[in-house]
Amino acid sequence: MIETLVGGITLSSILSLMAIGITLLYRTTKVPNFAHASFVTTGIFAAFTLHLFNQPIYLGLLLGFLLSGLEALLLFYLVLEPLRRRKSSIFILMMATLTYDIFLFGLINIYADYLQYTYKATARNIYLAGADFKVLGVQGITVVSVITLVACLFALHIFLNKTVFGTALRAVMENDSLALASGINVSAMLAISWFIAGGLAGVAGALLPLHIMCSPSTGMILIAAMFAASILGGLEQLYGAPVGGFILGLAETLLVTGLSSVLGPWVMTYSGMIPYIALILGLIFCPRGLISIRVRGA
Amino acid sequence: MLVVKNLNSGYGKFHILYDISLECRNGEILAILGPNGAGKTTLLNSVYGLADVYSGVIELGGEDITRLPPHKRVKKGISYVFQMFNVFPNLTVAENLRLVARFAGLNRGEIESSLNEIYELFPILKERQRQVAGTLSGGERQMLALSLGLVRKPRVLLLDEPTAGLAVKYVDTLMEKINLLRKIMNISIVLVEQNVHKALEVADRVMVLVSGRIIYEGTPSDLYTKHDILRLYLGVGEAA
Repeated sequence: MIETLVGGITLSSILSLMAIGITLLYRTTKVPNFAHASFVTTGIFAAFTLHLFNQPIYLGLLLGFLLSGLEALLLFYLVLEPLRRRKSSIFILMMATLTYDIFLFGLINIYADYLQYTYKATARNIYLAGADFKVLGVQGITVVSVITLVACLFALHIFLNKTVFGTALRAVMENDSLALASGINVSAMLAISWFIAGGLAGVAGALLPLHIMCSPSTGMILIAAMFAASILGGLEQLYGAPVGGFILGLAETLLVTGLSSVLGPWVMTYSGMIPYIALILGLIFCPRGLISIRVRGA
Repeated sequence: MLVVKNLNSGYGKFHILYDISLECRNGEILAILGPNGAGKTTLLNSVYGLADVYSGVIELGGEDITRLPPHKRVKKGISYVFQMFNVFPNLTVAENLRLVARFAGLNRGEIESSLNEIYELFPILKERQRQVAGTLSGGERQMLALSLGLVRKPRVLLLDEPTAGLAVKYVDTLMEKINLLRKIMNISIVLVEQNVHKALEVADRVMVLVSGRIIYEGTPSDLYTKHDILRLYLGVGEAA
C-alpha cells in the first residue's frame, strides 16, 4: 500500500508539472496547447540521451527544460504569433498546436530510430529506474519529483509576484489590450510564458522514464491526463494545476491498484480510462475547476 | 505636439475614419465630440496604434510614429486611458502604477518621484496603494486609470470618456484634475467625451466627428453658437 502511495505521489508530482504549463498557457494565450505532448516527450529523450552517453540522468531536467522551452518558443514565434497577429480564432490556434505536435512527433520518431540503429539503444522502451539512486529504500525519483514540483512552484510564484516581468505577465493574463496600451511588449511576455510552460513540460518529461516505461508516444498518451489535471485544478487557477495533478495521479494509482486487488489484474488494462472519465466529469460538474467550488455557508 | 494629417483608418476591411487632420498643442485640451459610432474611439486607437492606418501620417513632436507598435509609442510619450477595463483588477494600486511606469522606460528614481506626484494629485490612491484595484469604487478606479496614463510622464494623453458611468461628484473632481494636469504638466490632452458641457468647460478647442468625418473644428464658445450641430449630433438643447 505504501509503495502504491509513493508511486502515486511521484506520478502526481510529474503530472502537476505538466498541468501547470497547460494552465499557464491557457491563462496567457487562451490556447489549449496540444504540443505539450511532444514537449514532454522531448524531456524523456533528453534524459534518455544523457543516460545513453553515461551522463547524470538528472541533468536531463536542465536539458529537457531548455530543449522543450526552445520548442515552445519556436511554436510561438513561427506559428502562433503570426496567426495571432492575423486575429485567428482560438480554434485555429489550437489546431496549429496540434499540427506542430504531429510535426514534433515525427522528428522525435526519427531521432528514436537514429538512436536505435546507430547506438543499438532501446529508444522505444525507455525505462531508466535502474539507473536511479535510492534514499532510505525509496527511489530517488519520488524525492526528486516532489522537490522539483515544489521548487518550480516556488520559482514561478517568485517570478510572477516579485519581478517586473512576472508582474507584467500577470497583467497580460488579466487584460492584454490594456497591457499593450501600458507599453508592455505583450508578444515578448507571451513568449516568456511559452518558454516557461514548455520548459516545465520538458522537466516533467525528463523525470518520467525514471518512473514509467516511455516511448515516443508517451506524451500523446498522457495528453488527456495533462488536460484533465489542468481542468480539474481550474484553467483560470495557476496554482490549481497541482491540485488537479494530485487528485488525478493519486486516483489513477490508488483506484487501479485497489480495484485490481478486488476484481483482478485485468482492471490494470483500463487504467488509461481514468483521465478521460475525470476530464468528462470535470467538464460537466466543475468546468471552472475544483478550486472554484466553495463550501456553501462557510 | 501631436499632429495627424489626412488619416484614413479602421479595422481590417471596415474603413471608419476618412481624411482626418488635427493638431493638439502642448498644454492644450482638444475635445473630440460626436454621436455614438462616429469613430471617436477609433481616432484614439489610430493615434495609439491599435487600429489599421490605411493612409495618412501621425506625428509626435515632429517625428513620424504612424507605423510604430503601441509599446514603442508609449516610450515616445503617448498615454492612452481606455473607457473600460482600464486597470489591472488583480494587481494592487501600487503594482498597477509601478508596472506602467517601469514599462514606459522610467528608472527607479523617476518611478518614485512620479508615484509621489500621483499620490499628491490623488491622495486617496496613496491610502489605497496596497489594495487590489478590482476592489476600488468606480470613481477611485477611474482616478487610478487616469493615474496610469500620467505616471509615465507622457507628452500626449488620450482620454476615452473618462467620466462614463461615474457619479456626479466624481465627474466634477475628475474634470478639475484633467484641467489642472495640462497646466502643471504642460501635456497635450485629446479628450473623447459624451458629457458635452463638461468637455466644453475644460477644452481649448473642439472637434465634432460624425460618421468618421470632421464636420466642425473650432473653440467651445464658437460651437455654442452652432445650434444645428449641438442639436443634431450632440443631443444638446433637444429638451428645449
